[in-house]
Amino acid sequence: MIRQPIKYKEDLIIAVFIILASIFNIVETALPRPIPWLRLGLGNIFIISGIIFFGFKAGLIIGISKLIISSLFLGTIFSPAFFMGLTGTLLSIIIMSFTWKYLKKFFSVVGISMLGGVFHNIGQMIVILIIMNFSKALIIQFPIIIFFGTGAGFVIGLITVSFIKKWEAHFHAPPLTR
Amino acid sequence: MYFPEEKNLKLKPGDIILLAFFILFSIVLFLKPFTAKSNDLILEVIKDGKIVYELSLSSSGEWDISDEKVRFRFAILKDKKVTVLDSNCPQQICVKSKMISKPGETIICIPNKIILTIKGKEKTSVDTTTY
Repeated sequence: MIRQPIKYKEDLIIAVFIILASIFNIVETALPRPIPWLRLGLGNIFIISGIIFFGFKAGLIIGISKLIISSLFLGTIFSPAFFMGLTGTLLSIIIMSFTWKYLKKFFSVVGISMLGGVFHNIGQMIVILIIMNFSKALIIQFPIIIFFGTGAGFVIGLITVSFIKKWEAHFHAPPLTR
Repeated sequence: MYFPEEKNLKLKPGDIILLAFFILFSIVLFLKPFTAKSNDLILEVIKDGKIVYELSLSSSGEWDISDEKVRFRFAILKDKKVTVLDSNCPQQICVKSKMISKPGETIICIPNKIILTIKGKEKTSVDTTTY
């Protein structure tokens, strides 16, 4: 007997991804870190999964909801940190969706995650540059944020790949079904 | 729901090229400011986009650049390191940052719009300056 793919509602899975992303983000902020602004971004596992499973719109919904929910809980809503996160999230989701849709030949999920990490940090940097009146001292920060963005993106990409494999095995679905 | 094909989950040459490019690019850019001489460094204090202080790292002491909205104090220690003593920003990232001493290192306080950065001294017609 062939097992049929389980029927499910997309909205429900997106909601679960939003909750998981927010929880990971909040818990991660409470963990001790070597440098105050250095984070892995574990919540982004679910944003990337959302983009891959459902496309750009779902990724955007998960990203924005994660940001609003976690900043409500962390008390950083409408602070400079919130707007830095907003630009970073928007820019990284746009870049990741574009790469996944059109440049799939060249980059796997890990590459998309690295691009997302780097462009998230560049998006944040744009807000800092606007707040600080385009000070030249900030240009020095670019190599550092690109370095850590790539590193975090690589690790998150590997975790996402294993998450997608587990998720797929759970549903017993054949590849390329909608 | 679209499940990705197996080949899109495995590492591709493009990923490795991207990783190598970003890492090399950042290391090359990062090492550039370190070519300045380490014995004549200045600390540049930028507030609201304007330079308010240019201090030699050999002049140790405490400075206060507070005004009615902002409370901000920093110090240059005797071993030529710069640290933030006090700030009224909510997350205290500038206070928790590690001390800076090398050219290119920076402490930024976003809520107060303050940047502390270390630079190599630029060439001037003056030989030495005393403070």
